[in-house]
Amino acid sequence: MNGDVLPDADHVTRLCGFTQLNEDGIPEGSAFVLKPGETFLSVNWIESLGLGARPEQIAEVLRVLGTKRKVGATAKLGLLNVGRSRVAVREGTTDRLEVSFVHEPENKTPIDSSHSGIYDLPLSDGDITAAEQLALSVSELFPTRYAL
Amino acid sequence: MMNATAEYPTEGRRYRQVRQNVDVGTTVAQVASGQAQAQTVHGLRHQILRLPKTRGCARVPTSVTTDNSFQTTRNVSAFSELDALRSDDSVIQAVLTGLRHASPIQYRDRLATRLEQLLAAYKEDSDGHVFSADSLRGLIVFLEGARFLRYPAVTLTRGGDIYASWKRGSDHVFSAQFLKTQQVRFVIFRPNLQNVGQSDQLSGLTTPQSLPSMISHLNVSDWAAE
Repeated sequence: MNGDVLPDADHVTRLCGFTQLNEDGIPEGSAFVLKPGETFLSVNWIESLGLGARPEQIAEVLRVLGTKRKVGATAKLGLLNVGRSRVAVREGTTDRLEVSFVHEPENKTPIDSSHSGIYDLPLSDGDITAAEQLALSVSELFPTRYAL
Repeated sequence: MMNATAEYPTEGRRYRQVRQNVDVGTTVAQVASGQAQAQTVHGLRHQILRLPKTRGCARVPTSVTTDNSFQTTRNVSAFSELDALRSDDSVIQAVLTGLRHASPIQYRDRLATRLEQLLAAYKEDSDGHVFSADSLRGLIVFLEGARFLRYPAVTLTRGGDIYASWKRGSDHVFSAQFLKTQQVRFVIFRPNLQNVGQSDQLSGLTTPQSLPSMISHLNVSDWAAE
């Protein structure tokens, strides 16, 4: 439901474009820096989809993202555990930054029911420590041409 | 008429990019004859900007003669805007040419190729917009002052800043975001030398000229050097 805080045990995916992936295809901190004017970083809460297995969850996220925007063939979905990411940011920033993962479903066409946001990140030209910690928290990567 | 071509390597394949003057000329003619409405001019501008970049640049007239003075003013404005946006790309290409041919950075060719890849991809993702030339200059100024560092992982923020990173595992990290303001945000993670199991996290904002001496004092070169 809109505004729900995501449980620490759950997971989100972040779409990382070609320009945010290094030459080994790994997302860098640049994938987690806010764009000017943004107040949160868009992610998808995969457990909210109600699909059992990870492959189905990833395929559904990619299907939905494809209805909203162009998803490049070289982009990747990075998987993050909510709790571990929050701890990494808190323990890895000097001011013990508390980021929050909040459900922000988009119910108007194109519908994105699992859309969520990472809030309380520094602004686009602010400290990059949290962005770097989030990049290091990516536990799995999925190509956008993911096949079940 | 001159056709200019350029080839940019991308993930496992190569583009052949071509710009034809005739496309631009047709657009100019349409606008000059007053057939194009403002909205169309905007659309054409968009279309032109998405044309591949070349080094032998086709020129678009900055003034157009018509019998309608209002139309002329509007056209001149549209072309000025076009030139301004196109020149952004030209500035980046000029900086990259300087990097390839005049920079003392040892891995300059590899870096220039990577930046060309990023430029092409960023334009594709951003409706023809280019990343920040000032950010690019900041990166080069920094790297020329920190030639002890190995080749970095170079990426872009979605806002168009260049982001360079050096890592060894997850406990040795040095990353820098080169801002449009000609400043640089940086962060360093490293193990604490006095307390096993503890780590240091250092971050700040400085200029690309000052950052090399800062990281030198923080011994980044111990693990991020060639």
